[in-house]
Amino acid sequence: MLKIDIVTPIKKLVDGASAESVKLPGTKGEIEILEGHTELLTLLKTGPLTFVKEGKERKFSVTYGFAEVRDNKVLVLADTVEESTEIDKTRAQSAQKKAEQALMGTLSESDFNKQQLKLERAIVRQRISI
Amino acid sequence: MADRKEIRKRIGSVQNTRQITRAMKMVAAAKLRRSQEAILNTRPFAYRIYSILLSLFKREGIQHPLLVVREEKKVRLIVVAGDRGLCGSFNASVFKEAQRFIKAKQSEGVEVSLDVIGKKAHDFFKKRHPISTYHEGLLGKVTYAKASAIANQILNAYLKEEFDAIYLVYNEFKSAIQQNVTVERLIPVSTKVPEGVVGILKVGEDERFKNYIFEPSKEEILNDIVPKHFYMQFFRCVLESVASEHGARMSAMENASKNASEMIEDLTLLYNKARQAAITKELMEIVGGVEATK
Repeated sequence: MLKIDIVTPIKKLVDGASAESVKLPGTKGEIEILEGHTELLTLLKTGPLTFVKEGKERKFSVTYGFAEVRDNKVLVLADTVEESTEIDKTRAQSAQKKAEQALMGTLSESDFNKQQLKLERAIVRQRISI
Repeated sequence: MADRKEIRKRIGSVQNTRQITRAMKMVAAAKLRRSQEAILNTRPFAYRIYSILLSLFKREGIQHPLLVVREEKKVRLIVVAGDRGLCGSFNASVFKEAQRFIKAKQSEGVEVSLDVIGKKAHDFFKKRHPISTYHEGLLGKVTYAKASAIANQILNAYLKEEFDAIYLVYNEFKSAIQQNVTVERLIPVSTKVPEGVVGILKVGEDERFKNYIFEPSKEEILNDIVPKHFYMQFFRCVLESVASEHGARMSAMENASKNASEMIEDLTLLYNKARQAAITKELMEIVGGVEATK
């Protein structure tokens, strides 16, 4: 069994939940952590994070952070984390449209990056919210 | 003897004031509780980031531009005060410390530029010292997103070498009735383990990263963590300042309510004396009148 902590700057979202497997959005692609995984410190990109316990899945949307795995403990530190049940799909859709429209125009580099991140986040949110 | 009507009016107005100060105290107390919680909630994240940062730096010896101390020619001071007054010496003591800091740096030939947070800080410094940026609208509701955006802006200026260090002066939150004005250097990041958190940071530090896989690499992870640590520090300082403000306002309003109560007591005594004197006078007149008709 794995133990999971998910911590954001403003609260501990998940505190010591147990799971059989955890999937993380690593920078080089999805990483699946199972029991006995070697120690790992990885950056995370915007994407879905899922963990499975007794066939039940919990999904989260994560934006930039990182994760540490050791002794069958998974610690996720990320700026914003939302559980799929909290996500408002229509809001995510409108956020996607807004970001897409903004990206059509001419933007400074930092604004462009910002909008692109927003777009990514909106897409991830929609993907996991059902 | 003072005019009774006059005294009654004064009692009424002091009572009104007391009502206001009492209400303000209650509001401050409620807000204080919430902001204390907010500080506690940042701790798990902040400690873990810092412990990973220290481990990477100490055990792995990885360098990062934000950890390197440059010679100070220009520094940036972030002044965190409040938007509002009526909170005792909360704002004034920050300004005093900031001015002391500026003077001390200037006497060493170091230029100081200011970033201010809080309307009061802006009002105070705009006539006294050039302000580089006034960050408005953070204090209404402090969120990590807003705080990290401001911190990022300041950090970018540092990376462009507009200045060589970032200091921050704020009211450190000790308890509801105690606030300490503190100056902290946020950048370059101090790699000395602070007292009090040693226990948390030491856990497993020795063998910490022996067999670790780093993805994408140690350097890139550190690149990500060091700015984040700065954002968290900045966020924490602002939250502590906000909690201190509520604490200071609570004690100031508590005192004001107490003073008002004392004043009401004194005035009531005065009013009763005046009333008694008037009654005595009237009685004397009646007795005198009866006496005269005999």
